[in-house]
Amino acid sequence: MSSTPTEDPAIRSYFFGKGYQDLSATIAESWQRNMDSAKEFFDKAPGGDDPGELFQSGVWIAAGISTLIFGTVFFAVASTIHIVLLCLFFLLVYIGFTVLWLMERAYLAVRSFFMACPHCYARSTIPEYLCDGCGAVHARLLPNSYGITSHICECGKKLPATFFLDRGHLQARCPSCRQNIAREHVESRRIFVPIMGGPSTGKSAFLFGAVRQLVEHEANNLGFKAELFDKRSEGGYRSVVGMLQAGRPPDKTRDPIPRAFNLSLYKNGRLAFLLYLYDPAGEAYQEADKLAAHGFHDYLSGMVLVVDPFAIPAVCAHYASELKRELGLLKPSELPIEEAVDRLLLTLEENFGLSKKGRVKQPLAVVVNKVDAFDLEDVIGESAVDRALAPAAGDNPVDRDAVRNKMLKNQLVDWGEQAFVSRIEGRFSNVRYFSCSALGRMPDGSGAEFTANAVLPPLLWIFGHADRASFADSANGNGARTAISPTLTRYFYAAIGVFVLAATLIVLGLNGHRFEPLVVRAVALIQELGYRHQARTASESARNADQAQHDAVPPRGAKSGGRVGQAGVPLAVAGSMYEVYGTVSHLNIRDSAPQYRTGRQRPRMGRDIGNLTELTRVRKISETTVGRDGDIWYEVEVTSGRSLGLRGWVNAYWLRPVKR
Amino acid sequence: MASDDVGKAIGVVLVIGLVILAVLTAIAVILVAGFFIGTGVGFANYCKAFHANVRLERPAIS
Repeated sequence: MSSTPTEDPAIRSYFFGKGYQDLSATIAESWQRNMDSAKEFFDKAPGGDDPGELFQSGVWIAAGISTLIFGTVFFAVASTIHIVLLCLFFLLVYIGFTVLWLMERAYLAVRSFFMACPHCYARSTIPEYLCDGCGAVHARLLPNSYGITSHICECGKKLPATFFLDRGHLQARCPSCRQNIAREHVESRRIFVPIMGGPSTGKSAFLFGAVRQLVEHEANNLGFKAELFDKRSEGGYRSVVGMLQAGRPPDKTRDPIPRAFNLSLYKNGRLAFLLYLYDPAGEAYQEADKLAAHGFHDYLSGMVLVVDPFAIPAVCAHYASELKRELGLLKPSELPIEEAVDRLLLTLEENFGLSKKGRVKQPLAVVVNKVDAFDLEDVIGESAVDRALAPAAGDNPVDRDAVRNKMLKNQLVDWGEQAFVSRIEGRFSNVRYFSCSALGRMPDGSGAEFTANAVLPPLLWIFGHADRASFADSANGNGARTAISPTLTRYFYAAIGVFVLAATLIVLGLNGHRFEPLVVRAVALIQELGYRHQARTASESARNADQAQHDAVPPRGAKSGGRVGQAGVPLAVAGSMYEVYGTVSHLNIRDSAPQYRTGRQRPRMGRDIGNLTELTRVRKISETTVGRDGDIWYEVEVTSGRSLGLRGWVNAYWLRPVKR
Repeated sequence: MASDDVGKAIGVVLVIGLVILAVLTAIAVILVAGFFIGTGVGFANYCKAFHANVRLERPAIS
């Protein structure tokens, strides 16, 4: 198992190889058998001069010739039918295969399921899977030529080839580093957050302080149960927490390319999120080459940038005398804060597709650490935020996060880090500033426990961007979005429904059902429903209008023209003038056949409807508003149809011929 | 006499007609028989070939 096989150790599906071989072999053998049969008949002819033998020879030769001619004709017809039927059947299979393949791809994409290797950060759609019978590595256990729903391993074991058939129960391994990985690294909702910053900024203390708070308190408050995902994560966590409890800061991180620290968040007994927290050594931010190996930048959910305020010259100058005393305990970071960001951006540009002027879309939490030192708590800590909020107490509620954000940003500018602030605000779409004390107090060698302070909000803010619903109030606006929104899920299921419907229709059509007439009838039915609705609406309108007419002033044409639109009232002779009471929409001549007579015979629909249409050309001559109810009389002229002797009904309420 | 000649002529025509009919019938019989033999053999051969070659299953492991 030392190398990735180029070909899967599986048996190719019948429909992607053997089916065609069978067809070809059948045709070849059938032809050969026909030739053999004909030869057999010819060979049976005795070939003597005796009349009996001559007769026998004739019979056998005739049989041979018949086999050659009619047998070949039958062979040609049968082969053609065989080819056509097989191709149609295979086409159905291929359509099913394509639909399943697309559905799986769509499902994986919507659920954000992909393989993210915790060891080497490699990303791929699916990992390699190991046969649970013989351990053979199947690199592409997907619906493909080796099988649509399952692959048959060379050992004979049937392996599910799709997510929907529980493919995930097989042991997976990374195709890049070939280390085994758990199912959750592929089929779960994951949040990837690197903790970045120069050496000695307190990244490890921040990470484990935050994880500790999450595991011990906050997860419960959020409705989760937090568990360390694997033994390695658990070992690292226990070790660092032990040190913190003993009053010792965490050891310096040595690995510039860290393995992910995984934490599972369970909800209602099911894995809701798997967190990937990366804690690279600060030295990685001193060399861009080392950062290039941080493949998680390809799919990260957000970033935490830990800033050591004592890496800022203005802060060092301000606390110069204190620092002289506490320098050994504080261990200020030697990397200027903007350099870490510059190297990160350079790496993203050179290795992860960020354009030179592009902005990183993932949220960035800038966390100013070590606020426990000297009086920094009063300058940028939570007590400073409390003080800033105090004047607003009693008035409209003020967003504490916004106040903290503004205060920290202004303070960084005051400390002369305008360039740093401009840089991150210019290159990151979503930035928020936090302050924290990853150790909770200044290290003093007393052995008292370190308890982190305000380390969790930055992480929760990022988690909130990954899934707002689950981490309510953590994202606090700023374009927070749900990774998989209920609406998106509905769209996904709707898309599946459309897929299935389309596939069914195609299959029905291919199976010889009258697919096209069905569609035509469906469209016609929809149109018919529309027409009925229109007719009903028009009828109701007409009834209402009729009723209104009864209540209204008797119209001028009432006596002479009578009421029209009722059976038996002839009118609308071309060339005549009429006075019509109503609205414009009522001036249409009805053109439906039952209301149409020539006087001698019922005309044929197709041709005569055209004539009726001509009759509807009424020309409005003038209009007069009747004062009392605002209705209008129209004087109209019917301009065509007279030569054909047409008569019909005008769909107007009142109509009277006008004598010139 | 004349009626004898006519009778002979009719007889000859009838005989020739019968012979032609017999020949045509024989040809038709041969053709039909040939058709059934040929297609029958072709059908049998195709069925045998189909049975021998088509297996709706994945190929055996080599």
